[in-house]
Amino acid sequence: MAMTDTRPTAEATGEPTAHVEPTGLAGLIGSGDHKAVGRLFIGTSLVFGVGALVLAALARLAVVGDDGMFGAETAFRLASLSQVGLVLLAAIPLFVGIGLYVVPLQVGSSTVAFPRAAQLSYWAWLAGAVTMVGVWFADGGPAGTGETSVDLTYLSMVVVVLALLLGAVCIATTVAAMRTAGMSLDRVPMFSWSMLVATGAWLLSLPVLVANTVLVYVDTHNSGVLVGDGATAWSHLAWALVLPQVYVCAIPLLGALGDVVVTGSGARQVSRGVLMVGVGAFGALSIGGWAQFAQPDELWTNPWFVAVAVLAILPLLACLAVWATGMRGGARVSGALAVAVVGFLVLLLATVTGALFAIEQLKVQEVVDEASGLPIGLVGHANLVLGAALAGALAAIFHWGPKITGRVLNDGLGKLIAPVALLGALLWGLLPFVEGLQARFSALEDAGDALAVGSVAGAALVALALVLGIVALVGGTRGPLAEDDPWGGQTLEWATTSPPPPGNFAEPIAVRSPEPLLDPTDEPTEEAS
Amino acid sequence: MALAALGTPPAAPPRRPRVLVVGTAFVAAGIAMAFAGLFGTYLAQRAEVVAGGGTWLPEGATIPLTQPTVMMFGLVMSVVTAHWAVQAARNEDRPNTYLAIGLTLVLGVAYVNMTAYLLAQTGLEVDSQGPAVLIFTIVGAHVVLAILAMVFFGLMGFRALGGQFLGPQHDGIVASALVWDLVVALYAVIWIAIYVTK
Repeated sequence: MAMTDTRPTAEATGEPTAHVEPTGLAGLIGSGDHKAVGRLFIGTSLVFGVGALVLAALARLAVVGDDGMFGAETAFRLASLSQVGLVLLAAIPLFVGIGLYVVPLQVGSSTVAFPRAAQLSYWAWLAGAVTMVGVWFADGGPAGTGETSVDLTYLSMVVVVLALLLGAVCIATTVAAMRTAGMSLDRVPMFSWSMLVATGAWLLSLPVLVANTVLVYVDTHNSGVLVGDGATAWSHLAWALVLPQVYVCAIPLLGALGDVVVTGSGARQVSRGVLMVGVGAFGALSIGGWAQFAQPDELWTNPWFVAVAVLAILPLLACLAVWATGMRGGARVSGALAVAVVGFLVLLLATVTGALFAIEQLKVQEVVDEASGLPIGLVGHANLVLGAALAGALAAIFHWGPKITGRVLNDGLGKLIAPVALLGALLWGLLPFVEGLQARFSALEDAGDALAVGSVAGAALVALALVLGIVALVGGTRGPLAEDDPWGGQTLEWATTSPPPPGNFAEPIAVRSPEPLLDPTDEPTEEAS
Repeated sequence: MALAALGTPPAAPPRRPRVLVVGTAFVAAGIAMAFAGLFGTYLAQRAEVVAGGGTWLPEGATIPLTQPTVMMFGLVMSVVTAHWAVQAARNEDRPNTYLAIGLTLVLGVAYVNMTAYLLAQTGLEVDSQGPAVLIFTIVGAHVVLAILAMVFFGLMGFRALGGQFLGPQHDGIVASALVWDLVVALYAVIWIAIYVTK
C-alpha cells in the first residue's frame, strides 16, 4: 500500500453498516415503519373524533327551540362538518391506523406493502383534514360565501379521501400479497379478513365520492347549472354519509370482535367459513356507490335501497350465531370484549333501524332534520353505525394495546367505556330515529326538543368514551410492561414482542392453521425450517 | 450411479410476491369505480333529458366522430405496444423494451393532443351548459389519468433501464401495462357513450 493511500471505509470494503432508525422529529416524519404510521393515524383520528362528536352535539342543540339556537346557516355548517368529520376524519382513519399497525403482524409480514405510500397517506390525510376543518370554520365549507373557500372545501375533501384510499391500498395489498408461508386466504385472522373486506368496500365506493366531488367542483366553479351550489350541491354528496354507505365504517368492527371473542374463549374459531362469508356479505351490502347523485328524496324509493336496508341485518345475525356457539364454553370478559360486544349490539340495532327506515308506512323518511337537511331517521341511523364503529375501534385499541404501547392498557377503564359507549350511542342515534317517527305517531310531535337534548347528551357520552380511550392509551405508556402474549392469543401478532421490533419477527414464520399459536410447537418450526 | 452422485436439484427459490402488481390492481379497481360513477351520472342525466323530449347536446355544439375514432385506433395500438414492452421486459430484451415503451408514450401523447383539439372544436360551453360540465369532467379526468399512466410507464421504464424490472421480476412493466389497459378500456366507454352516442 502506498503511503498516499487512505484507509478504506467500511462502505468501500463492503462491510455491513448498522442501520440507524431516525429518532425525534425525523423519526416521526421520516419513518417508513408501519407501526409508527399506524400510531399517528390512531392518535390523530381519536382527537378528530372527539372534535366531530362535539360538533355533532352542537348540531343537535342547534335545532332546539322554535327558531333554533344558532340559525339555519350555522346549524348546516355544524351538521355537515360533523358528519364528514366522523366518517372521513374519525371512523375510517381510525381503522386505517389500526389496520396499518396490526395487519402486517397478523399475516406474519415484516412490513406493510408500500411503507412510504402508507406514510404519505397519513401526512396527506392530515394536511387535507386540517385544511378542510379550517375552511369549514372560516367560511362555512360547501355553503361558504367565498369562491376560494368552497373550492378549498372540495379540494381538501378529495385529498382526504385519496389519502385514505392510499392507506387502504397498502392494507389490502398486505393481506392479498404479503402473507407468510402457509397462510392461505382462508387462514387469515378475522381482523385482517375484515380489513381486506373493508378496504375493498372503500376502494369500490369512495372513488365514486371523489368523482362526484370533482364533478360538483367543476360545476360550482362555473355556473352551477348541473348541481346548483351551496347546500344543494352538498346534497349530491350526502349519499356517502348515510345508509347504506355508512356501513363501510363498521366492517372492521366485525373482525375485531371476532379476534377478541376467540382470544377470550381460548378455543379455535368454529364455523370460520360462515364468519368470513358473513363479514364479506356485510361488506358487499355496504357498498353505496350506486346511490351516487341520487336526490335525498329519491334514494329510498329505489328498490335496491330497500333490499339492502332490510338484508344488512342477516350477515350480522349469522356472525352472532357463530360467536354465540364459540363462546358456549365461556370466555374471559376483558374490557376489549365488553366494548366490542357493545359495538356489535349497537350495529345490530342500527341495521334494525335501517330496515324500519325503508318501510314507507312508518313515514320516517318524511321528517327532515333542520340542521343537515336529511331525514332525521337517516341521521339517527348513521349515528348508531358510527357509534358502533368508534366502539369497535376502541375495543381493538384495548385488545392490541400491548402491541401498540408495549404495555397492558387499564382493563377497568375498558370496562367503564363499555356502558358509557352503549348509553351514548343509544341516546345519540336512537333518539333522532324516534324523532323521525313523528309523522307516524302524533304523540311524538311535542317531544322534538326533549329528544334533541337527549341526543346531545348521547353525543357527549360517546365523546367521553373516546376521551377515556385516549386516557387509556396515554396512561398505558406508564403502565406495567406487557408480555409478548398477555391474552393467550392465537394469531401471529402474539408471537412477537410487545411492541414488535423493527421487522416485526426475529425469523420467518410458517403456519399450518388459522390459529398457529394453538398448534403443537414443533410443527410450525419444522415447516419453517 | 452418476445420477445418485448428483443428488436432488436444489429447491426452487420461493416465489416473490407480486406486491406492485397486486397494489396496482387495487388502485386500478378504484379508478375504474370513479369513472363508473361519472359514466353513471352522465348516462342518467342524458336519459332524463332525452326522456323529457329534449336533445342532449346543446344547440350549436357538435362532436365530430372522425377524431375520436382515430384516437380509439391509436389507443388500441398502444395496448399492443404496452404488452410488447411486457414481453420484451420478461425476455430481458432492453432495446425492444425501450422501443415499445417509447411508442406507447408517443401514442399516449397523441391521444392527449387530439383530445385537447377535439374539445376546442366542439363548441361546448362549460360555464352555461350541464352536458358540457359532464363531458369536460369525464374527458378531462381521463386525460389526467392518461398523463399519470404515461408518467408511471416512463418511471418504470427508467427503472428497467437500471435493470430493476427485467427478466422474471418485471412487475413494474406489468403494472404499467395494467394501468394503460385501464386507460384504453375507459376510453372505449367514453368513445361509445359520449362520442358515438352523443
